[in-house]
Amino acid sequence: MNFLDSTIFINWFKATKRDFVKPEVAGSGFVLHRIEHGEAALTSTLVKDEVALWLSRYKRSKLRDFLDAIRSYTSLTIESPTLDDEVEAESRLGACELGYLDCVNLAIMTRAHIDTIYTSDRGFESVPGVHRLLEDLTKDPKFSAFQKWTREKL
Amino acid sequence: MGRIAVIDADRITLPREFRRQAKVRKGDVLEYKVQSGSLVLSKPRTIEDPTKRMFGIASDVSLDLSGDELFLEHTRMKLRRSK
Repeated sequence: MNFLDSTIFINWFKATKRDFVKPEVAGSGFVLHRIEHGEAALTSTLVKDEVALWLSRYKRSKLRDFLDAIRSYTSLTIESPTLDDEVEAESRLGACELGYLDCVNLAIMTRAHIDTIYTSDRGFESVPGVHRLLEDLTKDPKFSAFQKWTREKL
Repeated sequence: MGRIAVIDADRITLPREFRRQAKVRKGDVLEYKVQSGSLVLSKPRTIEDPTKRMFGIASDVSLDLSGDELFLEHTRMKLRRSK
């Protein structure tokens, strides 16, 4: 199971069809498509809230759509941070190129024994033991089926 | 009113008639809450094709703040309103 970061949603929100040539955009859509079709993934209430806050700031009219959509990914588990996660996050601050919220997400990943994160945030590459996965997904054998879906459905 | 038996400590079976009326299908995730001594089961509001529905919903947004900045902005506005 992999962790889902906020950038995946926001890349997809901001995309136009012309952006499919960008691996981070196509990869983000592919990740969401995989989760929609049953791939188990984990995210956090912080990620959900960050995306909701982003929409409330920039696209208020679509906030409800996002909340309904995220609830519809039934194989996506949304985990709340514990105080211990936050203590762990505090100890990581400054040791990598991530802010506090992402350090809390890292602590949640550690607690869930997850080492791979779907994100376009390259700051995660500065964390030892964490694997950032996104652009390489365009080499996945099932990516062409996703591309066909985008051509037919979007 | 129908009845549902508790099979084990943590398992119940939803009767066919209940599933039909409530349109509950295999794989659905239900929400529950205990309200005034009653157990309320409900289907969460979900949508079909969430990935399709979310595509490009903010394609006209060019400026954006990162997660920490958004939360900081939220706090700044609260403090500004507190003055």
